[in-house]
Amino acid sequence: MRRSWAILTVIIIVLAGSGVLYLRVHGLSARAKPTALEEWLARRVRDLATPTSVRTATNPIRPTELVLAEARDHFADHCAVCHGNRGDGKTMLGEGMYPPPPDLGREPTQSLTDGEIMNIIRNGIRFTGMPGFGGSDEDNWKLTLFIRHLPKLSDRERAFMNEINNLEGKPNEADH
Amino acid sequence: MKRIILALCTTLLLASPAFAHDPKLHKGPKVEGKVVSLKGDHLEVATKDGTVSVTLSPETKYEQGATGEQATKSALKEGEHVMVVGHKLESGEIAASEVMVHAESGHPHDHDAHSHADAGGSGN
Repeated sequence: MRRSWAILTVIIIVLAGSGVLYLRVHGLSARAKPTALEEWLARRVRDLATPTSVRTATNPIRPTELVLAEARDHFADHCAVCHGNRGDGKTMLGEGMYPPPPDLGREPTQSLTDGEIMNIIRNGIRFTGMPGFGGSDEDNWKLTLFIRHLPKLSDRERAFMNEINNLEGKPNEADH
Repeated sequence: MKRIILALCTTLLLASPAFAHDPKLHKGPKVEGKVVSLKGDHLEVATKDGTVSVTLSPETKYEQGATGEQATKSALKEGEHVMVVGHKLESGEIAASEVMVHAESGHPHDHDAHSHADAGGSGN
């Protein structure tokens, strides 16, 4: 019994020591990239913290052309500053975040359920740059539809977004 | 103590209509001006930069007055001052998600990031 405690103590000391050493060498820079282990752990914890009722919630809004255009403008106004008009996270703020915002148009975001995406928009994710926006359920469901639409975003739609936030500069500036 | 509670409740009650009309709740580029014509689902609005054509749809919501009372399409009349939250469709037309009738000039909406020029500008 005493031997087990000794082994456990040694393991704890080694782990704590490794953690301190890692911090001394790498610091806490937000410009670093999360390791695969960190990413995997964070996603598992987020999954565990998502109630089944949230995961299985279905979107009550139909993706009409107007709804998608409304959500697109909303996204351009409030979300694109970090996520970018394409949703790929390649923005000044996004690239300096730890963890960086995911590419919303691709896996693993697109493999989340509508309920999970809506929940993230409404409540955010603790210890990341994603704030909980609160807002109305209707707006959040519409944004969820737009995130689903991101892989099919046209250049024209992106140009409309750029008219709102000018994130990509004027058309001739963007070419350079 | 009772007076303080009463005062707080009164303040909250008075503040509610203003909160309901929080400009942040109306998202998207704005078209502001006077109604020139309304034919079916096509609304023409005279803005300071010229006439802008807006398409109304069954999904369009209507509000009336400074407190944003719920209204219907029938509130739209020629000469009325309106503020339209519009969104460009792929075709280039501007579709209204919300129309605010009697929206006063100098209204809090004016401080929002977008003016009517955003919706009626280039890209059509």
